[in-house]
Amino acid sequence: MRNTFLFLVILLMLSACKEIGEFYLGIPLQPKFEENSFTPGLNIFGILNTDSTGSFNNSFIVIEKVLPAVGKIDSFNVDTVLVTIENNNSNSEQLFLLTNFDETFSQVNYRPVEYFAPKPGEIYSISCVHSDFPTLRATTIIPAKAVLETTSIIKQNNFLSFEIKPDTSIYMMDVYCYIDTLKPSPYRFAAETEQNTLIEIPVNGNKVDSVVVYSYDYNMAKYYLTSNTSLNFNKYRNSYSTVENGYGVFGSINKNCFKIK
Amino acid sequence: MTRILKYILLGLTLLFLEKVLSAQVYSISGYVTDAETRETLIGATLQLKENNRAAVTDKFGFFSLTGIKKGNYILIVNHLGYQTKELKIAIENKGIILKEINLIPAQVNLDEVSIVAVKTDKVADKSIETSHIELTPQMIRSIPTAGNDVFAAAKYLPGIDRTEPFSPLYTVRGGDPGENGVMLDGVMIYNPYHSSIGSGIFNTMIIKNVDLLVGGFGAEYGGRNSSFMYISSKDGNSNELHGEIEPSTFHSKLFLEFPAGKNASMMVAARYFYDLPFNFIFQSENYFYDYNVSYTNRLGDRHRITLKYFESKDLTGYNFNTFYKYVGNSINTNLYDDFILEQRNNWKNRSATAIHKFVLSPRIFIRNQLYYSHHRSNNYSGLDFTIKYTEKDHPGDTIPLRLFTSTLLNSEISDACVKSSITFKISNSNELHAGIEYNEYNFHNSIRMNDVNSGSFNRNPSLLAAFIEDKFTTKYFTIRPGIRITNYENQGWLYEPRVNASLSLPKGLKIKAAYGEYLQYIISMNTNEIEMSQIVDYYYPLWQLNPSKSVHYILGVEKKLTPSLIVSVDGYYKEMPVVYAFDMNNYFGFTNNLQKGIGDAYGIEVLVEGKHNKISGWLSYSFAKSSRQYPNSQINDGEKFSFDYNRPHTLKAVTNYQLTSNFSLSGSFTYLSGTKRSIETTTQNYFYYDPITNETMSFPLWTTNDKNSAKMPPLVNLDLAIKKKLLRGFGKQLADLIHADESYATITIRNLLFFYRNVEMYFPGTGIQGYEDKYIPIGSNYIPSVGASYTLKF
Repeated sequence: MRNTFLFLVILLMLSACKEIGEFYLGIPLQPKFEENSFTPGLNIFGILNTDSTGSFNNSFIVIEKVLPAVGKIDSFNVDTVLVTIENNNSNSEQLFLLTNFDETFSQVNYRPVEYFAPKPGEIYSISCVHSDFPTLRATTIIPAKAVLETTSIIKQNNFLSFEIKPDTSIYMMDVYCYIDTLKPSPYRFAAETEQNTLIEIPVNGNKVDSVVVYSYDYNMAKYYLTSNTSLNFNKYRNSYSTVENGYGVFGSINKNCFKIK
Repeated sequence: MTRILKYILLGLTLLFLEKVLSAQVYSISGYVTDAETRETLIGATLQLKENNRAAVTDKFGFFSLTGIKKGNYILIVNHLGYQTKELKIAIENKGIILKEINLIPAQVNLDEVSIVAVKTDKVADKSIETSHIELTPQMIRSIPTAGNDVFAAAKYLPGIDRTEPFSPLYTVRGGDPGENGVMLDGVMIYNPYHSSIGSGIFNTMIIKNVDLLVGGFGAEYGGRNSSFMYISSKDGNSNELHGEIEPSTFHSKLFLEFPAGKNASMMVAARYFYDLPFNFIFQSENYFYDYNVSYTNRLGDRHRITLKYFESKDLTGYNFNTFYKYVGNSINTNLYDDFILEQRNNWKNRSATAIHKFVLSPRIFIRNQLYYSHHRSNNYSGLDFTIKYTEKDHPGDTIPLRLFTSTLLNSEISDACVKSSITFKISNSNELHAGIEYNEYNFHNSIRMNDVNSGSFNRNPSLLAAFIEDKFTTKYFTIRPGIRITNYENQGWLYEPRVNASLSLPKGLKIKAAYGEYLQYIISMNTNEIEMSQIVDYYYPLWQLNPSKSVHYILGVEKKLTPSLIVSVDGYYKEMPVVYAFDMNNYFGFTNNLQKGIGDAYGIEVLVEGKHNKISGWLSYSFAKSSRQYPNSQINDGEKFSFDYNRPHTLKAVTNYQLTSNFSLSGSFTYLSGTKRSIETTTQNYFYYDPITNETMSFPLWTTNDKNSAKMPPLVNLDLAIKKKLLRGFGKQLADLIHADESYATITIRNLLFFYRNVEMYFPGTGIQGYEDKYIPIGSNYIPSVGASYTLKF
């Protein structure tokens, strides 16, 4: 009986060895796909910014492509794409070109080359045309400036709290507290659309001089608040997309600043 | 007050009915206990020699034998591992409540040791339950890799499978992990798992018996759609001090049971685990503990009062920042200077209960219970790092690489419950079982994803439930119809009909069938898509929604091959007309993203268990299929998909080979066919934006739009253990020194089939030279391991 048992164990061990020379990484053991849903397309990160206070408007579009999860090494970069931004309110069109305006901006992206000043409530559409990919389209509504409920400011030793009034064009806010000369840390909040949004920021006893609130549109809020970016593998995670015929996000941002007395 | 009057009236009616019914015949009842410890014995058989009338002790060790006419009888009492006892009984003009029947443990010939006890027809419920599996401490200990853990052992049984690779959660017959209820002495325990070793929080030293009801269970059990694990713990030795100590480098265990005054006993057990390597390497404090205290007072032959307290705590904190900085310095790079990778898990369970068992008459047994169960967990995991390329290293590539992801999940549950049940043996062929329970819950849940509040709530629902079931038994046929009615949050009464039946045929053949409808008001959040590994269930009380529903259809055949070997085949179909899931890919807020769907599961399970010569154990094969569909959601675009943990074929075997009286060899083997997973098909840069600098950062993430569209390879495991009773040497001397009765050495060899790659996950090979077009399999069984332990028993 003992010998039979040992024989069985050895037999099992040997039969378990699929490829004797490849046991270390087990590369032959690949998953069997029922369907591989890779769809080529453009992947954009586009943001229209109301800030035109400098020499140029701060709006830009990053355009890449998506790659299959496995395959030949390739770059995310794509050849020149025809990027058109249309103001749906005035039916005017504008081309965005690939530039950093001689290092005015640190990153080379698609930027407006003419005067461009989006205003809250305006609706803009984007189309990205490339011969190898479907034409990507998306629309954004420029959000309003965040409005502070002035009576809501509460300064405690460790916390600063205040409320932002609801606005149907604001879906997310990034709040920066300027404390003396310290570099501010961002605090992100989902915005309430029917009631005031309560903002509570830990200040650890420091005196806050001013608060800057960036307000984002629905697309940016969806991209950031509902994307599953968790660090795990082989879990169901959809592609990140708020656009048609492609990937990524096309959204908009507005900015307001408050002094805290 | 009206309700109390109703109870009194019901009691009086039952007493009256009992008197009427017992006009001609009488009853005998009582408890059967171990003579050495006075611990009640479950599944002991009692038979009158003169007329073969028989009864079996229930999960409380209680029996009731009815339909006995006046006269003198001999009552024969049997239990596996105990000497048979014969009692002379004289029935005159009334029924008898016997004093405890104490059975003396048999002198076990170790050659005869069997790790399973073939108990068809011995345990009362097993005579009719189709899908009832019993786990004893001996069975748990016989599995080399179960680590004396009830949940690890349960995964070797048919129909019960693991979920995520490193998660203690389990799935039963295609059900969600949150559809499994775990009760310790009737107390619902939420998340009864430890994180560090992926095991259960119940110390096997305290366990008397584990009953697993994996489908078609009776009306007594409710609130969970898939399965119930009912764990009975020991009351303690009321005769003398006994115990067990197991010191080790990584854990310590203690178990003591002793008398606490006349007719009273106590049991104290504790375990403490500590993680020295992680403390040393990662400066992370990791530990867990659990302890149980039990006090039982036997107030005469009619009353028993039991008080039990249980507590467990887990703290794990892995901070890899220092380690990565060390790695960076070693390979002369500053890439990891801003690297933050942290995981903190902290959860705690507490439960307290008071149980009153009352033998109202030889036919009527009443059990009243009051309990409070509390669970709190706080789990965080986060990764944040940024790499800024220099123009020299990456010409033209000015977008810095950044990945920031974090999840913080908080969950707190309080469950206060009062319940009462009555068992009324109307006649020897008719047993009525009824009960009522009221639960008052308090839930607090919150989620922060990527440092943004993603929702929180406080809810205090209540649940009133009642059940009644009646078991009719004839010579060949038994049927138990029952119904459970529930009222959740005063939303009205809902009904859950259940019926179990069995038919005994010649040549030891038995056919069993079950039908049952099950409702669940408290579901679990499926967070496995946003957590590295979902290691606890985050319970979510449904609010103004129909409960999750499951309907079980089961048909089983059972045949005794030899007196100690039995084969059973169970076929099941589980319809799930209402299931819920959170769409974690579009998650924000709680109620907005709860998706309603449908599902089903079906399969066949074959189990051979028992003993042949010196080999005992079980061998099982299961075929199973399960699916889900959320038609009006974005989950898999509303299309049907294979359930996350579905494994079509599983083969499991646990054996114990008693080489000599002091030396045994045990082994466990599992073949689990590959489950379907969502293997990533697309690489997409995800962008981060800094509005102050107006710059972007990005990180490539892998995605797929098809849920569970790729099949993983099968998992195969073989583990062995050698157990030797120490008769000489240091171990024996140490046992003698502290007056221990016995000492054992156990050597466990894990993962003997390490040549076979057990793939737990796939990592896209993009960017790795030579493997760009392949997925790199990541496994957990690349090397075998050997462990040793020493046990003192006194």
